[in-house]
Amino acid sequence: MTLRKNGTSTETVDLFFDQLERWIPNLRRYARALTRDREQADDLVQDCLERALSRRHLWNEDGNTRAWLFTIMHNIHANDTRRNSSRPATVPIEDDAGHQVRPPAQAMRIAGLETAAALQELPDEQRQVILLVALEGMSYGEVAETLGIAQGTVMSRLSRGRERLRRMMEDGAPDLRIVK
Amino acid sequence: MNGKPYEIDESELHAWVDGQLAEERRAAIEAAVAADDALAARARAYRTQNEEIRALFGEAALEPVPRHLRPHRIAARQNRRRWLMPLAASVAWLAIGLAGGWFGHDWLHPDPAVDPSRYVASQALSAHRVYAVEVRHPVEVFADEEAHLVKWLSKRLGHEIRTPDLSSQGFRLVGGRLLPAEGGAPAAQFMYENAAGRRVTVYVSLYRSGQETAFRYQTVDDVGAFIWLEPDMGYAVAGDIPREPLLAVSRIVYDTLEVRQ
Repeated sequence: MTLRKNGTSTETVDLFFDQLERWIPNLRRYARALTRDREQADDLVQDCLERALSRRHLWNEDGNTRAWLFTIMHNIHANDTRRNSSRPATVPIEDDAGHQVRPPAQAMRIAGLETAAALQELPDEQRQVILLVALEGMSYGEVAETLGIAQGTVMSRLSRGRERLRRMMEDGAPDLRIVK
Repeated sequence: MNGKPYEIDESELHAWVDGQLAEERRAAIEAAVAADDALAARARAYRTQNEEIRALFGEAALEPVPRHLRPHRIAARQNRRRWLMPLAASVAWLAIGLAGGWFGHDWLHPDPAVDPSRYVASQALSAHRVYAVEVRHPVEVFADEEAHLVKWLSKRLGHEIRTPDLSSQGFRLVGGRLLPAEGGAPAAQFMYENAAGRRVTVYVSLYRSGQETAFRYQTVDDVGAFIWLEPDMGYAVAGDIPREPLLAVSRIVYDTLEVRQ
């Protein structure tokens, strides 16, 4: 009797790996915006890929792989945040030992920094929605799928978050040295 | 302000900013924004927010992906870990044994007297971990000799055992083996495999806990197990499949084995 350890067809497996590869840059970008730390972000992406690989049997070839991956990453991040909530998570943006995220040169103008600082002031749930829409260009439906919430909830978080950002920018920059 | 000449929905304003607005609504929104300075200011601000967010973080997607994030590498690392873990565990056990006895005993090895379910779970999970990764020798007796397998294991356990039919869950019998259990008593392991190569193992142990329990679920890393006890038997179904399908499998196993005595 011959037994194959893995009966999954090679083709499907390759497609799975192709899909993972394809979305890594997006995962890194979103992770960077969430954590604002290059190493932390890549750790998050790595955890996400590990979990995706160990759950490849749950992957649906015809489903939305991006939303699936972002959901996984999102859950890991939420757990990490919960675990670390007792620890002070203050990372000064200028305290750059080469690890912190530096806004790219063309965005060094003060407006970019203000936006970055203001974003950090938002509740996580609003920041996530804004980032998925603005940075990732996700449709509202995809955001809902990724976060496991209703589209109406997506819209209200987006609306509240943007309005709050706008008011913060109008009232002047939040203290740039204290960036949570 | 000029009253409310256009009925527009808050979410439509955002959809317009994000380029997600239905084409047929575009004219209406544009007219509304043109007629309302406050609305126009908000739309402008939201657009600027989008642009600045992209300018701030967009670059991260253009960087070359570090090697340690390549999926093939991660998968290779995971496979290595899966193979090394049973080995590492036995080395650790040897070390503890040599280092002088049983200091670590209670901690590493649940005490059967204290928590029989956990004890059965740990036995079943280690047996799963050791044999489910085996390519050439996953079982002692393969399914093509099922009658012999059943007769042999029933005799050794002193209980009539039937092999559960898990085909409704997509699993077919690979075969089975005899294992040592508590106090030199025997236990049996049946292995099943689905079309994707996933394996679940059914563990039946001659183990007198004197208890009768409902299903309990326990996981170690990616492997989960449902455990239940009868006064003189311990049962477990283990596998690295999600909880729901594992539960479905466990129910069938329970129904098949429960009435035997």
